[in-house]
Amino acid sequence: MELAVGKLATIDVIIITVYLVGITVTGSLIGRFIKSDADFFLGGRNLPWWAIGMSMVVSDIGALELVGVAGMAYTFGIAVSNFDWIGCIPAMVLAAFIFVPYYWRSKVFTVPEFLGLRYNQFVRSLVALIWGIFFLFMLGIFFYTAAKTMHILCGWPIMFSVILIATVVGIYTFFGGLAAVVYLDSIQCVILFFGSFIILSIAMLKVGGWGELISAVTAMGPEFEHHFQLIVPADTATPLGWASVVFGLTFVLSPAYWLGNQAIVQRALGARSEYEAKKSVLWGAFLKLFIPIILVGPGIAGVALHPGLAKGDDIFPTLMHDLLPPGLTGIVFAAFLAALISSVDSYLNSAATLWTKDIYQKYFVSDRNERHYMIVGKVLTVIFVVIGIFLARLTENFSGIFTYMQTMLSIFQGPLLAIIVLGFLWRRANAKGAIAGLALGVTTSSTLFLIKDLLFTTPDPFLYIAWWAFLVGLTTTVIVSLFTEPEPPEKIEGLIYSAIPKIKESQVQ
Amino acid sequence: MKEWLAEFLKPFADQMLSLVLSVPLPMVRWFFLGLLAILALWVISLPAQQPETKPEGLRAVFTDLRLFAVGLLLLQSIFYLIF
Repeated sequence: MELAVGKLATIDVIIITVYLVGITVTGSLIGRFIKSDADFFLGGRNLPWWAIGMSMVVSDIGALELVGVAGMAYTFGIAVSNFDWIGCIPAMVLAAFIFVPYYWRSKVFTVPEFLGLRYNQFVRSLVALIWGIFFLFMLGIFFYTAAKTMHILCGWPIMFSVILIATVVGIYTFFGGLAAVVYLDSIQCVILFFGSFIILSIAMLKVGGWGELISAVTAMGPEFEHHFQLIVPADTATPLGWASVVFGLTFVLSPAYWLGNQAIVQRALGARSEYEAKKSVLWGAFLKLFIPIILVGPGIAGVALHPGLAKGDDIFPTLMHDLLPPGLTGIVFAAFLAALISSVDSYLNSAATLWTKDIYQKYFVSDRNERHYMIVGKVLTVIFVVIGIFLARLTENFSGIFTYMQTMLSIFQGPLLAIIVLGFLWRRANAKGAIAGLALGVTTSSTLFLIKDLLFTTPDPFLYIAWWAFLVGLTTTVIVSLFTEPEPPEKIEGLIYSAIPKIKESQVQ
Repeated sequence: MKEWLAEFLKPFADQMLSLVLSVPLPMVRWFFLGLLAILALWVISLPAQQPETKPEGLRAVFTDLRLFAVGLLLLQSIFYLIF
């Protein structure tokens, strides 16, 4: 895609500079309140619900999503909204009322730490290593994709953009930890919504409204017959057929993301109270309702405004180029940067948390004070920024690495969800079952990925694969657990949902 | 090996595909709505989710997270009813 927004006007450059300097300085100032590891990794467990919810939502929208969701909407229609609606809302409601309070009460720092309590330290280390390595690679990929998109949008050299983003995010995450990430994400959420709303409004005004849009698009031919349907046939040649949305997305990948992804769960662990932790997730779910409107809307409007683009992903930069006057371009560009940066800071802080708590403190130095682990977390933040820059360079040379890492994630997430859910809901699930479930689940998904072209009709069947890996992981964990010794009752006391005493209204904080 | 495995799994995959293709789309829509309704009923069946210290001047109904969640699920259902 060689499409550039063009040379930015002076006012746009001023807006973008103010934005970048503003978030760096604000984040660094938050660092004055960071005194311990709980302050650095969990914001002192004193983060407000509204900021956590906004941070969760904006962290979920990365470099590719902003451009990619509009692009998918342009190509496939509004069915892409399923990723944010049925693919998020039910999982977030379940997370709010079952899983998040449970994590919050156990006072853990990380999801692997919880798995270590419930199963054993091997499961903890295995999951921490997989997530820890994944986060590092994702950092490099985020740096690279952000820089690549900025190169496309305004022609900046890729390595310049990589270093710019790495420096801004690195500085405020180093000084402010999770608190800086969450508070700045909430500002970035406002900028993202505002910027996206501007481009949506102008695009819709130009089309002539929703009714006009439907008439214009449906008149383009039979290939657009599903463009305004959320539920599309199962055999559609996209990943959005209803069966993959229900089984792979709603039942597996979305719960795996909202219940098991450290970068998401870590925010709720930093809430002031259990009540606020729940409220933050529900507030995030409420904001999620609007994401398809502000991201999918421009993509659909683009079908009427710019039909026949060779690549759907070109629609967002095309709309920016065509619709926005100077000043507004700067605001929308800042929204774009907000989307990029909010994902990078989350993964950077979560990577530092995982490596400090689950690897360094567990295996190397376990008897030092809180300040020591905070310093280790800060040092790791700097190291990971450098590694991220290096991996961004690597990503530039190996273009398939992003797909490879996404594939790795979907291979792992189904079986991981199986052991989290069983560990939480079923007293009988044990460590041997969990290890067997993880191993066989990952083997199943890896095998299916190897033969996907020979087996599935859809070209990108990752949702179906996640479903089958989840089922195999679940079944294996159940069978092996039933045939092996149960965990001692005292070990799992307070870690099973049914064993948690019903909390009276007055006790909920 | 890959071919053999794919050959082995293909009849099962085909059967699954024909099974999901036999489900009419309107039924899928009701399945989506049913899923959201079941979740809403489960949320309502939970104990009230109130903060320990209630903000002054706010009635309990405005601080109960269950109602907020049900409202969310209702809004979500409206989107799936329309589209």
